[in-house]
Amino acid sequence: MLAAELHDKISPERPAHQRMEDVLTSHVFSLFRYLSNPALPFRLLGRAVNLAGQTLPISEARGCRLFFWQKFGLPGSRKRREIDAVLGWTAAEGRAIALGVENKDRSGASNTAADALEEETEEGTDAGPAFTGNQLADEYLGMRHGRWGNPECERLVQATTQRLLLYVTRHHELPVLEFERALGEVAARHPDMRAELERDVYWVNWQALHGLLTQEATALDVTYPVGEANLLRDVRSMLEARGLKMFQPYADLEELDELIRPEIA
Amino acid sequence: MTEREKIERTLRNMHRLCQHWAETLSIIEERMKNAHFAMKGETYARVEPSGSFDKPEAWVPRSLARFYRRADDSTKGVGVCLHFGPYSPSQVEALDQLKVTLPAASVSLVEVTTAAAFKGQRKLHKMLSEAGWWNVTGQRIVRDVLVESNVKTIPGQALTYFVDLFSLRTLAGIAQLVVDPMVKMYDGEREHVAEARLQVFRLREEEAVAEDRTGE
Repeated sequence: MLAAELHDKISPERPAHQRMEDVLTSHVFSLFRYLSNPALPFRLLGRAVNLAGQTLPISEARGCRLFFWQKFGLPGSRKRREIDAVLGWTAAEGRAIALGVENKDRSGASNTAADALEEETEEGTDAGPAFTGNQLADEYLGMRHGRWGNPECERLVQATTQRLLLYVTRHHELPVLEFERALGEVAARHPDMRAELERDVYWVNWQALHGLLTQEATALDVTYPVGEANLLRDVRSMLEARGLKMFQPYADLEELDELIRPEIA
Repeated sequence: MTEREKIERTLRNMHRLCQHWAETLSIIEERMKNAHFAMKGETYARVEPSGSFDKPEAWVPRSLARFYRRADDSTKGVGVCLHFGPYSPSQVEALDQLKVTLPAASVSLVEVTTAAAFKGQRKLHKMLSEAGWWNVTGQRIVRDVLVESNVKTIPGQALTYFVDLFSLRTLAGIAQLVVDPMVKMYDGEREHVAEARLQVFRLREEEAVAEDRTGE
């Protein structure tokens, strides 16, 4: 919530669904900032898969940095897009990884508005690729070729060897069609990037975090200082309140009085 | 437990059941979209809550259905219906005769002569809720787990199987018992559910099956 307010994401002028989404982003991704050991949110990232079913490289993750709501442009374009978060860390074998994060709750990917100065899509130039109008495609291009407004974020992204994109939604399974649309948009303009995009774009759902927090529930007080344990319990409650629980039908039905069965003589 | 507590718990349970069933349909829908099917209508599903106080039996949703095709001009479609009850005694009897117990899900392949027959979402959902067991003619059991029928709500033929709703507790269960067979039925493997020996309702007594085999 703090990050959302600090980035002016909860002003009443913004549509309610966007405020809800940004507050959710703030609640969940702030865990990388506020937990003394970010192992748990990294485990969430470890549940993410790409179209080939491969998982995100998080083994031995250390040195995490986080930037919320970063704007980027593409070379040769005057437009800008904003991505919900950029995470950077060092993984096994010293690989520096940058991960752009696009979060959705009730709404699907926004395929309209880069902060458009002109029309929605544009032609690439010799200087580099152009925005496609497809949010996931544009954010992937941003991670690969973007120019970031925040110099610190720019340095982080430029210093990495792997630049990936994560799509976080309430789907139960990887939303193949949305990925295919993004792939199509990029491949139509840059056929050479198709394989990379298939490999470098990942998806996870919010429910996976609820699953992790449920697994950890009894160990929270042992593993974390009291304040952090309370924070994690509250995040779990928040996910439940938003209906972002793992699919466990009938598990939460309450007992009623036992049925009165007829006596058998 | 006091009466007040019973009512509170019952309504909370009802609310949770609706959430579980809605989520079950959402999971089915996501998989069908991933298999390049288009659903009929947005997230509308046919429910029949009635506001009428002389029809309180219709206040509680009895079923939810969804219909899918890959192309608008296709004369075949597939669909799923979640049957919760409370159905009328004669409807329960009709399901009993097929050895189907509630709550259940039915999955149907429906074929019509012209694609125009598939217009009208309410009709489609009613047809899906009835296919194989109610308001049908020409009912014939196929390989113990499928039932052919002529549906009346729209003029067409249906091939239907039933599965226990309690088998649909996991994403894998929903995929294996509903989505994958439904896609295969649409793609021409009409009797996949029998060939794969999936854990669905057997539509007649074991003894009857044994008699048939003896007869062969």
